[in-house]
Amino acid sequence: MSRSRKLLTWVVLLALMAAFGVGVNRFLASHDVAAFAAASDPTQVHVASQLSLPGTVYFADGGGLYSLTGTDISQLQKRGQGWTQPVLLPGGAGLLAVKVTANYYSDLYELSLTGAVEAQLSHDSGQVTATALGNDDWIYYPAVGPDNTLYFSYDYPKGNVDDPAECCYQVDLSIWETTLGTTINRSAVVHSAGISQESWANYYTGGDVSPVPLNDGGFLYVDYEDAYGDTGQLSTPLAGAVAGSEVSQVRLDPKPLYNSAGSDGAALTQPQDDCAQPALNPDQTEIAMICTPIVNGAPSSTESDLVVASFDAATGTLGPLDRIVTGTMAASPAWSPDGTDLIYLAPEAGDSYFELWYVKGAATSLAPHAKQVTSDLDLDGSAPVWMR
Amino acid sequence: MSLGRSPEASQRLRGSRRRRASRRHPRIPRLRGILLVLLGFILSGVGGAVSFFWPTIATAVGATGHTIQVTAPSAVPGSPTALPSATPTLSSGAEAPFTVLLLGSDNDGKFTTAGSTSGFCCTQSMILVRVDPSAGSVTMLSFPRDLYVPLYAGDGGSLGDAKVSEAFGEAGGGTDGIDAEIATVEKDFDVNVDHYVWIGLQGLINLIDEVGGVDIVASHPVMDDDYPYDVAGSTNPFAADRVAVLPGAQHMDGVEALEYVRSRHDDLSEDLGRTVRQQQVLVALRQKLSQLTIGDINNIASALSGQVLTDVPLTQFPLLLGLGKDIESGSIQHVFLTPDVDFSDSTVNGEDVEAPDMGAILSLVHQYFPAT
Repeated sequence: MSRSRKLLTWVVLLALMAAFGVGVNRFLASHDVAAFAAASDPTQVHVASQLSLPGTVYFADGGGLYSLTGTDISQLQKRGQGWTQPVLLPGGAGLLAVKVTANYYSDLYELSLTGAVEAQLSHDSGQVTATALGNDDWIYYPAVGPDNTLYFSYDYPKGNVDDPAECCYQVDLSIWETTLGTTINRSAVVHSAGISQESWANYYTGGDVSPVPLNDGGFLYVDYEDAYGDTGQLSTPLAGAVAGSEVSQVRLDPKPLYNSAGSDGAALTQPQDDCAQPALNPDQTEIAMICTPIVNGAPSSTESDLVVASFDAATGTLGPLDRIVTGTMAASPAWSPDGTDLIYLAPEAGDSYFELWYVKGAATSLAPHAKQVTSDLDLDGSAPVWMR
Repeated sequence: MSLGRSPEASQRLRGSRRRRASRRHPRIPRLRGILLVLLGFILSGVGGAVSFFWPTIATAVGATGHTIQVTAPSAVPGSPTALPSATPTLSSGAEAPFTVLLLGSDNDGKFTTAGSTSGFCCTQSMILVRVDPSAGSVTMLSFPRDLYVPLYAGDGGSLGDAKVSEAFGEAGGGTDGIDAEIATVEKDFDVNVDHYVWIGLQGLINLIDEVGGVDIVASHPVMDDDYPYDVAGSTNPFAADRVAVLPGAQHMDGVEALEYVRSRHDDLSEDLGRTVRQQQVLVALRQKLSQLTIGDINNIASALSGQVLTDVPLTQFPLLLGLGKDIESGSIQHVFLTPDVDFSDSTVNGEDVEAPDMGAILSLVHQYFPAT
């Protein structure tokens, strides 16, 4: 071999060695786990035609509001704006939604079905300083009944009425009601100007949430209590609960007493079922909710089941609980306009973000089969809305 | 007939021998060359791998290797007799059970005055984890941070009586603080701590963000009007934030997860409720970490850079990171000290504390963690 040919061979080999080193580096770098990837912009997500749902579904994602019609997703309000918990106005006349200013307060807005803000219904004092947070409030879980009664969870009054010195450590949501259109601000709440408190949360539980108006008046809601009972009166935790945890119950129409802890509503579910997030079908004969199973003697921290039961509003009774989706973190069910199918949120297999899922015939005795509607989204856990 | 050769003939003969010799041993230089080329490729590959893992290596050098320096305990409080030496005995073999003390705390010295080493606050989270790979089980035991117990320094010296979480600060924070927390846990609760992992608040945020967040089912609304605003560049150690984590399934980023596990003011179960939430997020994090591949290690290391200290050997890290990949979530045992059973509300020098019933606590602890 000539000297120059030998030199060329070594140069080529050296180049190959360097390329091999770079290749090893890039090979290792290419093994990121897809599950850790950022969620996609909903408007860029493709929904398969076979999963096209009738009507329109409204949902919140990444602080924005979106609608899904057929297989098309449209943005109603920009991402990163704190929008969450969209609900329908009676007759589908528009939407209500909560807008959150993180770590400070939230307010309630009325929007058109295309996402335009029609009115701001609540007005926080908006102190937004780290030393005057007591003047800020949370408002969540709006729901409007057929008679235009607006229910919502509100953290006023803050503080322990029995011990004012404990003012800033107790922040519990209670359920309030007013008539849709009434301006909600702190002074209005203080002076009860057409706004009344409907539930009184168990102290230090975080409060009462998820009001669901009934067609004939009253409402369902969810309250929380300690595993040792409302006032810690039990010597052992409630059946199925672990010390230190709180359990939830779906209850019917509380009867609050004036300015003190009132009676809870009638319990529809048992503490050990740990049920929350109730959704009624349009004729209010079926209830869908999320119940947390007991695993290893404690409420699961990584599983929540989608449960359906018959409901009789007149007698306030619930049928047997039928767990139709298990083994995942199901959340936030919503009925189809005809009351036969359900949509709900759950993580995609192998992924961590919440996606939209669909169960056909959820109210029937046939074994329902869940289908995933969206992927690569990051739905925020609040219930979607499904209208014709 | 002459046997003599002419000079020309001799030269030809020598040349011919050289050529024959060279034909007889052609593989020696060729083999040498092949080996050289192979070595070159190996070195190049190793170089590529090292350059890829450089952030991990740098973090590992900075975060690991701090060994436990705890002397033998004298006696367990509440126990009638002194105990035998509890100098840590490191488990041998990857399949042997081992115990790890997980510590979570702020490390920003926000209460530290200039020029002083004192003022470090406390460990916000103390979870003793026992991993038994052969049995496929994991046990987590949380210590309430306000449990009033004797504190010890890493050298076994007394630090007086205070909240168990304050050993970290009493010893000046950092690795001395970690030594003190380990010594306190070992002596007060009569258990061996084989290893530790300490992580700062920002480290937890970074880690959870790096794995794309965690998914949990929030058991109830977690509301707090007095949540410490001490990350994200706050300069006022007493500034507060409002926190509202709504119940139900939640996908949380790092900041949200930290708020969920750290908030404690509006909780009926007080600190116990917080320890339940901490274990909950830990299990969710385990779920994400169990999906790790080799390509993720660098990013994880970068996220934890300067925010983690540990002495867990490399052989046991995979078991701890995934808390044992073969271990199902259902086989993770969650253990908590119960109010009015294991401890009760009390006041010392005007400060609210939890007075321990050491007899009850030791009985509970030794159901899951062997005594020394």
